[in-house]
Amino acid sequence: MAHGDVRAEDDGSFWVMEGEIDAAVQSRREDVLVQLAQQATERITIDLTRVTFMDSGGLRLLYHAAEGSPEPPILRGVPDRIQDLLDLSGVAALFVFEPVPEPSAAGGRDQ
Amino acid sequence: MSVAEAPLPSTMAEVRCWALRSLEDLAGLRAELEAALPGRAGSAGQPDDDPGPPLIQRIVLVASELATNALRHGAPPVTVRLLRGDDLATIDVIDRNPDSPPLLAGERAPGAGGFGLVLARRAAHQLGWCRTGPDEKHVWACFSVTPAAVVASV
Repeated sequence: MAHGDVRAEDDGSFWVMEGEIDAAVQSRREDVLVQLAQQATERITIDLTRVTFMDSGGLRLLYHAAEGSPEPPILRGVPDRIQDLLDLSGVAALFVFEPVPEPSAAGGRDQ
Repeated sequence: MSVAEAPLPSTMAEVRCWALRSLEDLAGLRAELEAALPGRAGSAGQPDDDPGPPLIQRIVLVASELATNALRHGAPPVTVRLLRGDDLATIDVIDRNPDSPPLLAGERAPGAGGFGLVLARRAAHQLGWCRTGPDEKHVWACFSVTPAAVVASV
């Protein structure tokens, strides 16, 4: 059973992470996300609103976005727990942060 | 850069133990560990007005990192233990590859291998490893249950 996942929308420029983003998710999704990041022609936005846990496996996926995105990726709706991880790891400066969306917009920018 | 070789902190008693077979077991480990940690609602006694990161979350993060390393780079079976002393909580991850000491990534990027151990060292009060018996490697992380002590070590 998958406890977390990442899906890409809008030709790969919008990523939605949900649940627990760890090495298990990294092993399932890293190859396709690396490819999307390397092909990105627009700034990548990553929605983290529904992420409940992240470790270095998830950080690695964010880092791929930072390497490939033509401008620093936008991290949308970063939960406090994930903000702590970003601060602890020293990578916060690689990203632009957007506030948590209103409840009606949670889960995706098209909703 | 290596992790210091040092024995497990003494006077610790085992609270829980988990056997892991694959990366897919990590989520279950984290859920059960979080439930098993003392002072869960109060984050190990952290005052309500303390803006620091909850200690429980840091312990779960480190357990996830050490267990991931053991599954990826150690030899099975992999066992994770939660140990408690008077004012310490320790995560002890055991695999069967004692000839492969844990290596820190140094100042490498977070996309590089070994960064999980860097995070563990920053989040824990102490990080070490040791051998026991003919074939056991322990990588352990120790936390003071005094939140200020953990935050100060970052």
